Amino acid sequence: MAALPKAVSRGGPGALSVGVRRGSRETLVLLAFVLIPFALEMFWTFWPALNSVYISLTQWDGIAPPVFVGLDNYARMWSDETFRTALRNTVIWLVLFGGLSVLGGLGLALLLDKPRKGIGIYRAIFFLPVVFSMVVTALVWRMIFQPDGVVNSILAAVGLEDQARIWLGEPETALYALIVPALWRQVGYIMVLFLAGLKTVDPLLHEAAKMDGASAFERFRHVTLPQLRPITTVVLAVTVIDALRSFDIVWALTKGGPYHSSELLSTYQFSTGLLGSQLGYGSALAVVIFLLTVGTIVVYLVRSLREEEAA
Amino acid sequence: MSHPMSRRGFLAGVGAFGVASALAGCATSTPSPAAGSGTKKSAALQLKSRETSDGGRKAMQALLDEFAKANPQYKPTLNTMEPAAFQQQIRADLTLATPPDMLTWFAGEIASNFAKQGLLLDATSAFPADGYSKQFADLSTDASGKKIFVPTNYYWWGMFYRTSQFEKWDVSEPKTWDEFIALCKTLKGKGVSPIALPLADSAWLTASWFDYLNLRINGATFHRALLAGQESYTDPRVAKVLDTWREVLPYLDPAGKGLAFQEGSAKWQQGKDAMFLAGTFLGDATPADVKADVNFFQFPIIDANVPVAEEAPLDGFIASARTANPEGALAFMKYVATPQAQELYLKTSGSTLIPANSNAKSPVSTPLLEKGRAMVASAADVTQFFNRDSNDDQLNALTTALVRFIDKPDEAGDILKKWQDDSAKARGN
Repeated sequence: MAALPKAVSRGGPGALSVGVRRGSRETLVLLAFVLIPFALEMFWTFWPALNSVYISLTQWDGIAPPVFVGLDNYARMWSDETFRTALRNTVIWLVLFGGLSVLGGLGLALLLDKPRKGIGIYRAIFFLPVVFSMVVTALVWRMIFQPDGVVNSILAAVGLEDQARIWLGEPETALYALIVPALWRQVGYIMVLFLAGLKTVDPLLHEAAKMDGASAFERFRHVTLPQLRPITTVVLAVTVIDALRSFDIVWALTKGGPYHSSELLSTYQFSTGLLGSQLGYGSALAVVIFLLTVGTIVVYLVRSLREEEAA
Repeated sequence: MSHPMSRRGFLAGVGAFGVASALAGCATSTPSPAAGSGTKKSAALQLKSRETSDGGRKAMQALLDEFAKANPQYKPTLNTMEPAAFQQQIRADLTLATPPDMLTWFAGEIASNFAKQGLLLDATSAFPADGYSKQFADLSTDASGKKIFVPTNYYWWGMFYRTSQFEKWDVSEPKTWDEFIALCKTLKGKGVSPIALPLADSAWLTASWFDYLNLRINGATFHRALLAGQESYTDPRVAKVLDTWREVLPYLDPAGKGLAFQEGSAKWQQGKDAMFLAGTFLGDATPADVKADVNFFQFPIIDANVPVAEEAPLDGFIASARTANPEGALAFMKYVATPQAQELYLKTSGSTLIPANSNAKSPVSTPLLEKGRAMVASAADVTQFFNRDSNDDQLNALTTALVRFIDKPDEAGDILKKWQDDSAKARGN
């Protein structure tokens, strides 16, 4: 601490004592700015999170004192068929929902980037689903997927009655039927992120590339994409997080059913740990979701940072 | 110290009371009056209720108002919470240092477990000696013989249909399982879907089929032992339940998998589905002009040698063991056990419920209500409902198994094995 006042004092030798006092006050204020939010964050976020790591090592019904069982809850996952289904579904969800929403969002952004008459209306239309509450979205899609809803009516109208199904009620289709409304919403969100990114692409580079005879695809590949890299990092992080925490649309439409066929880790965690009374096992599931999310993102960030350094 | 209370103690008491009433004020948004004197015990009483329907809320308030009129020393307040959240929070509520004093709850396994953990107030002194049947008194008693629950009303389950539709199709109520299957066949022949079972948001309805089939085939004793984990779902007797249910599967409305409860009950109400195994809440949700047309018959008898048991879920009140005001809570429990209180509640709520105290009269007696009351009264045994007799984890295991069975009845053996596995894991052994 001895060196600190000197370092922050800006006055000459005569002003030293004032500077020391002001400097230490500033230091205090600065420390307070850092420490108070840190303490709050510790108390409200990290402490409960750490607690749930501890609870995941116990068997607890929420009332009686928890019984320490070591890693039993984690071992139980290996033999839990529902957990395996939920894990598989979460991976499918991450690939389909994540992949398609990034591709779709980027495609839409490229289409709607050029200033044109009425372009704002198109952008607004694609962005609109983001504004709706997920529960409202779910209500609308429930009607669309109903046994005599829109999808089946259209199929019947074009003579494909035999393809009509109970989309949300059959284990073969439920998960994919859920991805559609989730995508419908997410694509608009990703589109906006990419639109913002495209604004930073320098039009001069495009012009130069054009002069050099680059085709549209080459210009996209070698001019647009590299300049979108910072926004792509954000989009991928957001997408992974959104995919792994997807919950509301599934819960509102199928609750993970029929018989766990559309279960994600998040819904399975909710129904065992929160609705049921198996807080230990539920916490263990939460820890696994946390590790998956953090793991995926850390791997990606490390990779992209390394690429940036190399570049 | 000669005085019963020192000055400091007095101030501390007033302070504590002020904090307590301020907290109560937060939860109920009705600030309690400031403490007049430190010697008086807490007067605030909070009732936490999961009756969110308009009628139910008014009826709870009416109970509190009448109670406060007769007991002006208490200041009761009502805190209503949506049932799913209520159910989720009750464990936390009961373990709070300043818990809600009284809570709405139901008879069954969960209440017994609460009692085992010492969370419930002993209500033996509030339980009337006269008025409750032995079945209901037993359901209100914990393992140590204490009364921990005061039942106020119950409803029943049955196969609901519309009288006018049955007349139109020229069919009548079946008594036995064979008659029931024949009826389903007849209805299907007439182009009517015989049975409604909406599963999209209410897979739990499958539990009513399992309960009734198991009660009719294997009896209430086996049913309870199975739910308590003393018998296994891989038992051949459970396999027989599924075999019997399989006879009905072709008569379930195939669209049911994709319908929510509201949509399913609307379809039944319009006569597109003929029958619906449900509780009286099904009829309560119909418009006024349909209500008189709603009828039901008892779940058909499968084995005449098995004593008849019915599902009659019993609702009432529990009080927290940690209440700051046990006298007040007990006074309230005593009040809600009286015929007058139960009649007041049913009159105000307007639901199809039967008062639990047999000295109470139904304020609006309908033929439907009398039929239900007679059915429950003549039953040899009464059960509560699958999750009330076990818990929600067990219900989860059941819906997983039964919804899969409806889809893939050929996999019955595997389904039962997994059910037993899920059930045991949820129990933690």
